[in-house]
Amino acid sequence: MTQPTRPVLEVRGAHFAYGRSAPVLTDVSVAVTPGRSLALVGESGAGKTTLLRLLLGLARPTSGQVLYEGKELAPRDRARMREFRRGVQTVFQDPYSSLDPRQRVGRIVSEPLRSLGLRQDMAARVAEALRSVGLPEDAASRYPQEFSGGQRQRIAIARAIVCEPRVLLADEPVSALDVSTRVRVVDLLQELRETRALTVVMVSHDLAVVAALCQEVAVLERGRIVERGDTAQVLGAPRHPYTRRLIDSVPRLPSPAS
Amino acid sequence: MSAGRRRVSRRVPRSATLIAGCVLAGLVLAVAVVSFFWLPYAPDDTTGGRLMPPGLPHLLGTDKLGRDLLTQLMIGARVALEAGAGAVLIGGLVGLAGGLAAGFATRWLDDTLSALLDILIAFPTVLLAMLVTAAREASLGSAIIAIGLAMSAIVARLTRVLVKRVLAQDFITASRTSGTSWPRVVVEHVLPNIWPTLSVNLALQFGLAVLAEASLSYLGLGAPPPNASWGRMLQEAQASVFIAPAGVIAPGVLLVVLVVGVNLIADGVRDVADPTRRRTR
Amino acid sequence: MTLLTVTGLHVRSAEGRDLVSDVSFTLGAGERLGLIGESGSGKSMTALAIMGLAPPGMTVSGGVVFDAPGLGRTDVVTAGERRLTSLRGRATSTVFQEPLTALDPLMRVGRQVAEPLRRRRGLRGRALHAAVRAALEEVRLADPDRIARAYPHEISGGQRQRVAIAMALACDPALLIADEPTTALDVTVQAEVLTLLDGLVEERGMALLFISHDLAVVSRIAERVIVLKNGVAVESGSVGEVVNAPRHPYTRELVGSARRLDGALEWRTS
Repeated sequence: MTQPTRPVLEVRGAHFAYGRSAPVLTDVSVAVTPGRSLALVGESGAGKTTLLRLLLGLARPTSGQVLYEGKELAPRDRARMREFRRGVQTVFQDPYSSLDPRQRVGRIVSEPLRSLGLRQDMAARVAEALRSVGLPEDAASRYPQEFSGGQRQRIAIARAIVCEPRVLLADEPVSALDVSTRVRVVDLLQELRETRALTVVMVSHDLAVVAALCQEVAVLERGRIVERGDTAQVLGAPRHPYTRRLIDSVPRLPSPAS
Repeated sequence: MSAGRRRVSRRVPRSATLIAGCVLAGLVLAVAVVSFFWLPYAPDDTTGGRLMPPGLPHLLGTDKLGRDLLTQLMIGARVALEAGAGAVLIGGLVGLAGGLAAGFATRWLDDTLSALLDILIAFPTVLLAMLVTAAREASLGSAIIAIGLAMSAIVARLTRVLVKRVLAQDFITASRTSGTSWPRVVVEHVLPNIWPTLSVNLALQFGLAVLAEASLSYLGLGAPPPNASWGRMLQEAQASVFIAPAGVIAPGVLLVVLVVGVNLIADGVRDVADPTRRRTR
Repeated sequence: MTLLTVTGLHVRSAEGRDLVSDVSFTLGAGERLGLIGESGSGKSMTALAIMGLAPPGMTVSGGVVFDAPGLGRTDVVTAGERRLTSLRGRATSTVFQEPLTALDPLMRVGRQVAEPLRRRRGLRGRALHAAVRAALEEVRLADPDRIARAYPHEISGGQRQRVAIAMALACDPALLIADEPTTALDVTVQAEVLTLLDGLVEERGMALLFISHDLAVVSRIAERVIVLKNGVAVESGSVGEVVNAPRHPYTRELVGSARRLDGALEWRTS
């Protein structure tokens, strides 16, 4: 907080289009500062998922840059890509599709370690990751089918944190879960963010979850960032009409006072 | 993790299907193995008299050329297994490779491969067999190659669909972002996830290959005599089915036993090996 | 007057598991009831049982009695398939969660909306065309002619859900059953669709059975709620009572979770 830290992950002036069709992203720039979790908010068709794919290095912008620790991502530079993969891990929306049904949980969670060549103390690291997401020790020898949706999301989170990344990219991590489970997984992410110095970058349409987890927000509408800033600022005093409409649309519980 | 593995081997589920399949297919396999060491008569021994009924000294009787039916049947088991296994090996490997390529391919390459597969599937196996025979010779090997190639198109098309379905899953993306290379993604995630469906299909193809070899050898495109094939035995005995029914019944029963047995094994293996089915039982 | 009386509804699966146990409630004309529950709570199964659409193998017992004006009394549990078919659409109609699968992907939207109008109201030709247009206009679809010509995949999720609502309303049902109708939609679209449903139910004096896992959404549109857990109704009452003074521990947990997330949005007061 004393001095502006260098962004760990950054997208600069990115444009993206599939073939010659209309652009999905237009001049998008976002920077992830260590310790400042960021939410990418928007509705379907806003380009959230594409932006996430750029940040994950799964797609390359038509023009513009994606930088990790100040240097542009180079898919051909294997050593750097490995460093990037170790530093940036991901959690998906659907905990049913994101775990291979034919692998035991231990094998699923250890995949990043195996792929990144971090084979030392693998069993201990997997056990530690499972413990820190609140799963029992014997989970490692079971199959994903034996777990509920919330527990499966915990397994996915364990896989994402097992190699101690700096950034966790989460694509709607709780929207497929029941309300009470949702709160518990949000709590878990909050706790991991603090205990592991993890910076969360979350794609979401759920402003309540965003408000609970992220210090910064960028609002996307039709491939452009229309507003960005501190979460309290953006949600408390929205300037852009679209942000206002988004906030007004969130269904609220009747307040006890009324 | 070693603890987990031990636990599983202790509770390997016994599948009635698997056991029944092993018994049936094992019967044919045993007959084929014995045929290498012992045969009641020489395969070309025609001294038994024509169309003898079952009894002694010819247990199952003789065919219209006076050859011992049991001898023919035992050699036929060998041929059937060779044809099935060989064709599945060729068809499986070529088909799997082609299907994986198409499944991973970009749009235009996928379209090209799919068109190629459609042509190959439309191509009659018999025609294919004639071409292979023209290039080589009429032998069991030529028949196996032809059946295998025809099979590979079907296997490839199925593989392509299965691969595409698996690749659309999030765990593939998760694996990629974990830093896993494509070849390892194939070995770790794609193959294990397509195998249950594919193996059942290959077992089905095994049965069809045995039948295909039967019809090819009838047309003179298969194993030449004295290498008896059940299919040719069936065809030859057809004309005399009312006088000597054993000539049709014996190879027919064994053919059914083998095909059903292999299918049961495939089903059973899938039930036992597939963790996604374990919970529902 | 009472439109729907459910007494001791019980649904048991083929394996003998109780999916819904002893659920009772009544719904008068024009009333709005919310069924709240998490996945596996039996809320959708309750809705299916009410329509007589419980999947084969399920055993339904108890009473589900419709008393729709002009249609007579029907006990859904014992009634034959023909009687039920004549009831569906006129007495009850349903809007589902996923509008993409609820619509036939190979049929133009206009023809799908026309189908119930033709079957139930016997409309043909011009009159039918006009009725389709009116139905699409009623659900506030701008440019109804373009929508009518489009295939489901050519329009947005919100538009598809509006089409599904138009189809559900085509035969003037006395009761509209909405099963998570906004769960698959974006927040702004959800708000629009809820406003639309609210207005339509009001205008037509329809009864509404609204099924959702989202407490905030239900409290936006329903008057009374029933909270389901593992097939059992653990609490019921007016929205205000249940949200502000939950009695059952499960409801308290549910409301607590919702409040926590809701509270995270309290920026404006600071």
